[in-house]
Parts: sequence; structure tokens; C-alpha cells
Amino acid sequence: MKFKTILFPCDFSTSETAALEYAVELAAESDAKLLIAHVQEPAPVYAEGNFYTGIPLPDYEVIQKTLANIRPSRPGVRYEHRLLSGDPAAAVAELARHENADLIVMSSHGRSGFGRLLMGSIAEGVMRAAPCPVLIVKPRCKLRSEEPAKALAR
Amino acid sequence: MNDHPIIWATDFSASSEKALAWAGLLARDLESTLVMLHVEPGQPTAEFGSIYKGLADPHISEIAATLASIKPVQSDVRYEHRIRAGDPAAQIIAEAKERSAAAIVVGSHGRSGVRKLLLGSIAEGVLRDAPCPVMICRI
Repeated sequence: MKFKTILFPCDFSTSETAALEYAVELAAESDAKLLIAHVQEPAPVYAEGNFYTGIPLPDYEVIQKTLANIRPSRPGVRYEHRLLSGDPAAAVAELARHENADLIVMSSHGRSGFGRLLMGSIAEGVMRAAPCPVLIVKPRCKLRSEEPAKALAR
Repeated sequence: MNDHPIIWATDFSASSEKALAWAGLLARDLESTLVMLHVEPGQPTAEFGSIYKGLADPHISEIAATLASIKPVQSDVRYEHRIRAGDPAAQIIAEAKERSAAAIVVGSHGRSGVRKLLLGSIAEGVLRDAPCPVMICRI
């Protein structure tokens, strides 16, 4: 038994830095593959009679580039990107199942989370549906500092 | 080896024992010590006037023996057993802070958890105040 595939879902918010660092360290130490995933939520659809002009679709090229820029800071970590669309929590859980992920490492809060809540709605939804353990990293967890959670600093 | 242990908290429930395998993996891969922690909540105190005879203390030696009988799933993991007394979530947090833990691993629902809730009260309390990442094992 070992961690072979670690899934890191992200929504491009700065609060996720600590979670990414943790996922990278763990993937490096476990020699696991890191799957960096983003789920694009479909744009809401409005129909307002004659005035309806449509909502611009998200620019997938931009999203793809943004996702491709999220890479392990440490050399030697195998990683792949996955871009999905749909409901974020459901899509992440489904991807974990499909890819046989052994672990999901994610931030407690992404772009849509209220900091005062225990967890953002996406983290909560992922935890509810995930087929594997979920490692929740709070934004203030620092890996290489004097904070209590200096974690993997050697 | 590093000085930042993985803390696996157990209340001897099936949920926490399932989490042990994952805690051991983390400890092995990060070369951390696996701290196998049990928090004994202690007995509520009650007084009934003159007929109060006191409540039996929890049998700490029995608890210690139960805890000591639990070994990591992986054979190549350094580990230690630890018992604390008090409020479980608060004590787990205190251990994590004192030891500068790399992570806390808990089952989603221990003995007192109501299954339909996403998290049991202890897992929720740990997540709320943890100084480090928390691995929740719901399966």
C-alpha cells in the first residue's frame, strides 16, 4: 500500500498555495504522481426574452494556460493536468474515482469560501463524495516558516 | 527523519482504526514519527449529597493496554503511544501544537459521531483549530 496518485484540485486562488506545497512535498516523498485539476463551472444561463444576448463562454485557452502554470516547485515530481467542467465537488470526486487517486489534498477554502466557515462548500462537497481520504490544508498552514505547521521542513 | 510527527488520534472506533493505515503511510513517506494518541475524556462528575460515592475512574491501565496493543499497519514506521486526558479535540490540537505536527489524521466519525453529519464533533473541532493540515478519512 502506498500513495500512487495524489489529486490536487485547485481554483486558482492564492489561498491554495499551502495546499499545493503540501501536495508537492507528499508526492515527492511518496514518489506519487500529482494530478493538478481544475473544474470550470459552466456559466449560468439567463433567458430574458428579446434582451437575451448570451453570456460569454469562459475562454478555455486562458484557463488551460492558467492551469498549465500550476506546477510543482520541486523538480522530479511527476505531474499531469486535468481540466474538467461541471459541478466542482462532484467532478473532483469523480476524477478521484476514475484515476484511482489514493488521496486528495486540497485547501479548506478556495475563491468562493467564506474564511470564517470551517470549510468552503467545495471542500465540504469533495469530502462528502470522495472515494479516498481528503487532506485539508488551511490557507494559514505554512510549511517552511516558524509557524507550528512547518511540517515538512527538515 | 524529521521532528514533525504525524498524529493519529483514536477513540478505538472502527472509523479511527481505518484511518490508521493512511496515517502510517504519511508517517512512512515523510519519515515522521507516528504518534498514536488517545484522549480519555474522563468521567463527568456528579454529586448526590451524602449518598455520593464518586464515580469509578476510567481504568487508565486498561486504556493504556488497549492503546499499546495497536501497532502501525506498516512495519517500517517509527511510532509511539500517547494518552492525554480532557476534551478530545482540544487535546489533539494541543498535542499537534506542542509537537509541531506535520499532520493530524482522524476518522470522520468516532464513537460519538452521528453518521448523517458530514463530520463528527471531534473531527470538526480538530479541523477548526488545527495548526497543521488535517487528513479526514471518511471511508
